[in-house]
Amino acid sequence: MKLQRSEAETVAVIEQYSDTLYKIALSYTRCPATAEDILQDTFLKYMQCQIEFENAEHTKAWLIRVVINESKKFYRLFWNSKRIPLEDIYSFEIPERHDIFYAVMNLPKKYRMVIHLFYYEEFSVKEISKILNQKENTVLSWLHRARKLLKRDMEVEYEYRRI
Amino acid sequence: MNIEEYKRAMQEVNVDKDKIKLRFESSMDEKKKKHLRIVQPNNFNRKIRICVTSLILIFMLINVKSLNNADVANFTITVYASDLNKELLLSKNPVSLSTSNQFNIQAITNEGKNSETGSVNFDLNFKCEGKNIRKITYQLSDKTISRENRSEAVAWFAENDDSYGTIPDSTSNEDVSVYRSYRDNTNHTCYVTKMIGNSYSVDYENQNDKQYALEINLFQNEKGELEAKKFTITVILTLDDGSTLEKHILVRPLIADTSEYEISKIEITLK
Repeated sequence: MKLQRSEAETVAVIEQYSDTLYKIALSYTRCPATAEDILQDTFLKYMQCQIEFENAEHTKAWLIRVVINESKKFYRLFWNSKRIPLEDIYSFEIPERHDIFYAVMNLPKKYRMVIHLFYYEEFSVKEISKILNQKENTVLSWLHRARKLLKRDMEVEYEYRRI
Repeated sequence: MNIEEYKRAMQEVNVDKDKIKLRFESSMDEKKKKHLRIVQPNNFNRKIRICVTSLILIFMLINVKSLNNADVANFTITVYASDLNKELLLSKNPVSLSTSNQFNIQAITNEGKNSETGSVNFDLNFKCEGKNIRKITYQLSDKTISRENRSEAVAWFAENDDSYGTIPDSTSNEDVSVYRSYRDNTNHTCYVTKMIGNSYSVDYENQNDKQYALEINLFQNEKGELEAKKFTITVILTLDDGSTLEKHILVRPLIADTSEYEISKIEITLK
């Protein structure tokens, strides 16, 4: 396959989208090193892909879709499915301030994905359904159950602190 | 739970862009060489392999379909299984129905009887396949179910409307019995669920034009725990010549947490 885009063009895309894509890959895989690998593969795919993107939104949506597919591939390998300790996902300066981050990361992957895309990336349910290739109803169910699980997790945490 | 805290945490997560760029650039040369060297012959072989595999698959599909259509009495019912991606053939072995699309409705409004009543709504993805079928009727074993007595029913059929709009001012409308909603930035929108009752019929040709749903009631037992009762759905096929065929499906909803209005598993079996 021929390379469809120049290195300079791809580097510009890295500059613009790597932050967003890294956070999505990290949310899915919960592993910083793997998230970086996924980004590298994604940008190589971008360089080789023959799609004529209509606008920046189209490019972004395509890149997100590839990141999620690559993340799924990572999960399919059984030796990658082992649980990564939550504290290794990201080293915050003051981790205690970010209980909710760890609570989200502790959710099953489909739930943490919809939470991230809905609340952080601020995609609509319709957009998320296209990105994840799921029905809108399914996305709504996942959001509903993710919020419920989060609420339960956070309450358990507070109760633990009171004791 | 404040989701803004999640946003703040995520804003602190940063990727080293220079590192990503370096990794990308260093992998480029290697990738380019690899492409120049191997792409042409591999692509050709790959195309041949894809063509041959596709032909074999098409041949197998045609054969399987003709076998399935050979006998009208052996009509099949397919359902979306628990992973939502696969359609499984219903057989004597139990199949777990997808529960990912469930919405729980606690304390049904305007019932006026029992505020503790709750039900769980599922997209019902049944599909019948066979020859010379004109109409399909799905019927519950329960007696006639109306809006007034549905809190006592084991389950009922509903129609879910995916074309969402703003929340209606009132849910007292006879048809629009309950709704599910979500807040999307500034808009408060909803998906409407209309109660049908204990049976509904669809034309064979357009059986999946609408999204039908199953609403399962959860009851409190003597211990105060929630439980769902098993029930039977009768599938009646009306053929082109007016004759009918029947199959019975046993539905067994299971609850993992007896304090939550949520069904963990629905096992369905062909009786």
